[in-house]
Amino acid sequence: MIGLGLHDVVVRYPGLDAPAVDRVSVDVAPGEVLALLGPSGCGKSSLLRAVAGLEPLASGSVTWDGVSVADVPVHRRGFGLVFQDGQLFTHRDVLGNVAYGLRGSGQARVSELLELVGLAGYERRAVATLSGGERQRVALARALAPSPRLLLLDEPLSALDRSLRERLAVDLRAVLVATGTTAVLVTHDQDEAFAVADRVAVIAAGVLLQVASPPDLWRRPASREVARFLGYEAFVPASSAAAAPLRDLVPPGSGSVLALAEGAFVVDPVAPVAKGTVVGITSRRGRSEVRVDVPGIGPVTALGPVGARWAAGDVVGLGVDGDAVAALD
Amino acid sequence: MSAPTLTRPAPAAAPSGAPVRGRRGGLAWFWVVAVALPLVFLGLFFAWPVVAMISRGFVVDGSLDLSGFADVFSRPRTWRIVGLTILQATVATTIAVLLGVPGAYVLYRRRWRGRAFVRALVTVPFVLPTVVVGVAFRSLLVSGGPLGFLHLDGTLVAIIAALVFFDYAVVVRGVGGMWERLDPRAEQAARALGASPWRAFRTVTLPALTPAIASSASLVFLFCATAFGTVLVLGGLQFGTIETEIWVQTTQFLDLRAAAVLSVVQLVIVGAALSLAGRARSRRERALALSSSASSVRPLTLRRAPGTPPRDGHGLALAAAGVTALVVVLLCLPLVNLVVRSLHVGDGWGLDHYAALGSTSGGMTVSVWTATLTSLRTALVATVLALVVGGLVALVVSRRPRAVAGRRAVAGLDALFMLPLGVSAVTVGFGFLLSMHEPFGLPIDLRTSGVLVPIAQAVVAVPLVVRTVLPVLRAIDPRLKQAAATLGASPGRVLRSVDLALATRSIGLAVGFAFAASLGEFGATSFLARPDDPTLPVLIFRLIGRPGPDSYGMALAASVVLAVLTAGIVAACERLRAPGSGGDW
Repeated sequence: MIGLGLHDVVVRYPGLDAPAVDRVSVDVAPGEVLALLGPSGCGKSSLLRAVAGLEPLASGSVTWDGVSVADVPVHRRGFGLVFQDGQLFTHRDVLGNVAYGLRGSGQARVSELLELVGLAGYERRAVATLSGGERQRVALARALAPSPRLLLLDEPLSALDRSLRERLAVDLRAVLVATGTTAVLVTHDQDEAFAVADRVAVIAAGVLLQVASPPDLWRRPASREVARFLGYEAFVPASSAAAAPLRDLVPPGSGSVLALAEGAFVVDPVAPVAKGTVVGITSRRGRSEVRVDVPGIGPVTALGPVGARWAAGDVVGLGVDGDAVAALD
Repeated sequence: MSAPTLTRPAPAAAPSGAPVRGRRGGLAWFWVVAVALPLVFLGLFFAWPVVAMISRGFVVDGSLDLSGFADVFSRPRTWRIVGLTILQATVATTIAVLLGVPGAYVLYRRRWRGRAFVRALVTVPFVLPTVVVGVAFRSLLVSGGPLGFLHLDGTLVAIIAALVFFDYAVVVRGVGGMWERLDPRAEQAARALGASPWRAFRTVTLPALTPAIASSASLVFLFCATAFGTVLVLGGLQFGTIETEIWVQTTQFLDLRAAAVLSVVQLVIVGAALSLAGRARSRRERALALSSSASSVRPLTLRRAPGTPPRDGHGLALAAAGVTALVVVLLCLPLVNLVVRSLHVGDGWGLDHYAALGSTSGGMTVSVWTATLTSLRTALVATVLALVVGGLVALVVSRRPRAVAGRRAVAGLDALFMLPLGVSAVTVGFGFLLSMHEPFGLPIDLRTSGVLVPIAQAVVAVPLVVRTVLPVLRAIDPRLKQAAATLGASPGRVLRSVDLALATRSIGLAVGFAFAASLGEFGATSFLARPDDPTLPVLIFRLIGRPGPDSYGMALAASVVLAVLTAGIVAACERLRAPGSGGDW
């Protein structure tokens, strides 16, 4: 077994009956990026901290290249960790932060890493003068500097605003790929998980529900719980009459229930395959999102053209989009 | 996510290097020493003398004898002193809080030219040696002094005024440090909901400040209830606290039983005040919505700022500023008067009193300058001792062990090491006299050697060091240390490069406080200083007890010297304090 191995990992906190992490087993191959995806409080951060050696294991094991790291203290594991709020050393400048984990001065290595994260020339800046995004870039450079065997990222982008988060997610993926770093990313944002990771592990209430590559996870969620968390909002039996226009969008015989994500229906007055009653309208990035009540399915979110106007109660014709429909067992 | 997913190159080879088991032996030894050294030091030089002193009162011919209690409590004098102690402390605390809260607002929540200077100025009385405060108030109130017409010399009013003078800064700094960082948006939300400025203050800001106010008030109560030097100088034999009464009983009446009983009574009162302070503090350490001070501090102007409507709280701010201005003037009065009077020679003015500081005229054993050198030397040794012991205590108590038992042990140590703050310095000093004659059967008499003076001063200074350094160590986010560990730093390196690096400034401040406290220490030192080698406060006390205007003038001049020394040292170390770093004083 090469890389990181988790076998039946259990993490408990004193005074709580339910374990924070309940028998989770998953492997991460060298060079792979795994995302732990789940709602807040689901135990994904506890799992990450247990891998780092910051929380004791109640049972189970964490291995690297097949060897248990139970007896290795945090600072000798060679597992880097990036916190949600960076946790930069305010009493050191950027250089002092990035060089902290290096032996010797490592000036060249620091410059190389700062360039990699897009902060070339920032060596002498005080940490307090950096913006939120810059801080996280420094935190990433600092964690990468000692060439960790494994990089752990605990919601590294969650404290940033949305547009910055989306831009940094792309940069993060690029940096991890460029350095060939094995990494585990914890996040509650499925867009972020899909953008950064090779494989995504969905966790709820401390239990691992499914591990798959982003496209596989999207097309074949293992359960309603996983599907709901990914953004599927309506479920309809494949055999029902209302599901007729959707059935052909999934491979035949692939499941008994169809899951519909936002946008499974598209407003299409020209060649409608279904009809729905408008309940409300919102807008995202200019496009209209229409809440429509489709008979036999219930309220779903359909995409409409920019600037479209309807009133509640209007009946609109709907087309379908196969990329937003999945089959469940 | 719209971004295309990058394909990755062939996985890089995993970094080699098998993990090595950590060297934990050295660090474990460090913690053993860090716990044992303070325990041994305080056990030897605090617990043992105090127990020796108290047991002297309750053990007669080898058996326990509690009749001392009944005897001492049947004396009307005891009840009068206990009543006086509580009365003085309660009244002084109430006044200090009523004046200190507006002061905290003006000095910490508002920005104005000269604020830094006034902040430093109001701190001066707190760091002044108690004997100097006493002398300064006497020189103000004696007949012939500037306020002699009030006939307050030797009254309860004078004592309470001096206690407020001394402790005003405790409230201002304790409450101000909190107020400075209090998120203003809660109050703004209340205003937007229709509350007047006064109502918003009363219903939102004041409750948020209550833990800080309670914590400061209990500290002030503590300092007032155990006041020694100030009360001894101002109160004569008519007024006193339990602390001065212990001194009177042991040195004047030689009644050790009464002194022991009073020590126990004092311990009970102080224990109550300390546990109140502790509870208030732990509530304060619970999360409050705090912001950086930059966003919550607004400029203070005499006229309403252009663009602000009337009835927007400007009147409240002006009232607070007025009260604070008056207090600052009143604080300056004794200080200025002390300097002026020290220059007053006969009917004219001159530096004669200062010139006399080098002489040993009038039957004095040493000159003031010699005593000053003695004071500086002992304070230096005491500071080093207090820093080592207090620093280790702060380090140990700031740990957060995972195990429940470990956490309890840390909490226990925390309370244990705070005890010297509460037990009377007089008890410690007198306990030293009782216990250090041939200690452990060794044929040496430590009492006459003079080595006990810095040790006793260090015992008194240890809680100051702990309370200055501990909040900073506790405020360090544990994840910062975890980040260092995941970067490969060993526990020892984490301690050096994170804990110590971040606490450096507070350690500098602690040095200043410990040095100032040792320099001005009077309660314990008055017992232990050798007659031929007194410290400066002891010499000043002797000087004011001597008849004649020249001795009195010298006492004033020596007080000025001592005041300048302590204030200068604290001011130098104060520059090290990080803005908004809080702490109790």
